[in-house]
Amino acid sequence: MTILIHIKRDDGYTLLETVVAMALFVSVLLPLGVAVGNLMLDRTSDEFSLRLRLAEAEMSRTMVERDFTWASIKTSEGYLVNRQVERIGFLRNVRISVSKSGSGEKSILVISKTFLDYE
Amino acid sequence: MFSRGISPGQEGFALPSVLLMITLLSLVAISVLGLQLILRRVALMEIGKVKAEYAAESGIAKSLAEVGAANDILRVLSGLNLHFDSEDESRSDVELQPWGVYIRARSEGGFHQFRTSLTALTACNPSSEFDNALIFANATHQLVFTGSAGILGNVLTGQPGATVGNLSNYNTPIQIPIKGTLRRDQRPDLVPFDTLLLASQVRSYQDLLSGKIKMGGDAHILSLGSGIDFLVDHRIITDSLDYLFIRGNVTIDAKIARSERPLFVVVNGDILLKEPFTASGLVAILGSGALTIQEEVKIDEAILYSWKSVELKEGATVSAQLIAPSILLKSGSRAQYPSALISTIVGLPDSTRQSIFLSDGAQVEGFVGLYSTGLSAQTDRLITVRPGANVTGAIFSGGAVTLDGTVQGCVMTRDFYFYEPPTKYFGWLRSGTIDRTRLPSGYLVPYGFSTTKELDVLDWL
Repeated sequence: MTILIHIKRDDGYTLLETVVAMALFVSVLLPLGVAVGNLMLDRTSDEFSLRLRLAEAEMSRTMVERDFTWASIKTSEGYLVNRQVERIGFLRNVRISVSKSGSGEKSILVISKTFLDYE
Repeated sequence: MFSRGISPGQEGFALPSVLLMITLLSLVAISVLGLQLILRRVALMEIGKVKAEYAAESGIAKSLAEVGAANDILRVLSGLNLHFDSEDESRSDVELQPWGVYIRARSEGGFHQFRTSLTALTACNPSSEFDNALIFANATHQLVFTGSAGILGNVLTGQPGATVGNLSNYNTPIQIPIKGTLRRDQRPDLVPFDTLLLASQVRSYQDLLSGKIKMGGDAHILSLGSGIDFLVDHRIITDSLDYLFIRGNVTIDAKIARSERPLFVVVNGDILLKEPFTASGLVAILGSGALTIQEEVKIDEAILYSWKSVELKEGATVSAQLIAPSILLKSGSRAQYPSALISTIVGLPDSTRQSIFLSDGAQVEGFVGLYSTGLSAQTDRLITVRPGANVTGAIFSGGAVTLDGTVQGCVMTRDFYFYEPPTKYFGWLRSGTIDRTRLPSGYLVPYGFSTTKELDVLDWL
């Protein structure tokens, strides 16, 4: 009891507080800061949009140029755009897949569309 | 802390400030996390919407291929519903229905919770007969050129073939002015016209006009009449209206736009469409009297049907299906692609006179067709293209054609005709020109006028 009173009256209370504060700083504040930084730097949604734009552009090009051949195109953004075309009667099923270049061609976005082709 | 007896200046501040920082940073983290989640969701929504839209377009392509391959328009006449599933988990539901001489395809594409609906007008790819500049389906007399008449493209005639002729006031060509091959056939004929779609549509319009109504139980109907002169404006035509029946002559100056649910305006009387009248998409205006379209109205994809006549006044510009026994385009009027001018007497007396008259300076982009089962004289079933008038597309005539203007495309006719007092000339061309090389690629013809049933999208609504 005497010690407690002594401690309470001691100026060292702020030292204990500082230790707790440092512990919190290291265990919570730093990871939280890192997490916030990572979240702010996260470009996943931008990459989703970029992949979609690449796939859409390739689909539009295929339709306009009526280029129904199989092709693989490496983009300046580091993606690989693959075009696969299947013919069923008068229909051409065009499948555009986008994968990260060098990732073993694992598709991260696939869109497909069917065109009429009487030629 | 003061309660603990610590003198001012000695109390701690590190812990409260760290706790405050943690709180603030947590709030920032939650906000940034929320923002990122929203951005990611937006990106995924974009992908979902694109996939749903592609599914809708693919559904239309698949349904057209299916109907074309089966060559079965009967299924479409009563409304054909088709469902397609794709390997990427997208799906589409397509409904095909007639829209005048075209076929309307409405497709709803879906991918997970995303949905997109599209409506398109579809028509047929022209068959090989349309490769010719002219099919002169007359086995009894020659095709005779005089004056400035000429053809760029291949010509098919009967055994009598083609020649040049002398006519006062016209120069006689030195040689037959055909830049292409001339082929003679023992029995030349027009493209066999499959009338099923046209006849069924015209009969359904006539049923509406004569009060034999066939419509769904949930159709929204408004009837006006009997009166002498009605003025129909935007207050009468609401978005939910399906059928508007009017007894009496009417002037319409409303603005109507429909992309999914058609609107039928059925008038027992004459119709005047005047500024600021606008009809866009699935709008059909059916009349038992004369139908007149004034300058400055805007019509896009609509059907204009009359028991008597349809007339485009000077300077009027439309993109529409004009269906009537008699169609008149006055000087400077224009029917833009994909217009169809169809003269027919289906359901009317055989003696009804048929004519399509394109005045000087009138322009048509699309199809000009005169279909007749009547036995009246060819001069009572006549398409007239005056000097200065131009057709980009095709002319099909079950009667005769007076061709003094230009055609960028092809002409199929049983005969040519003009009257130069005191003589009627059959088989003669005096100033008309046909240039098959200038028919735009991708040109489509109404269903029934092509022997192929290769359906394709004509226009998106």
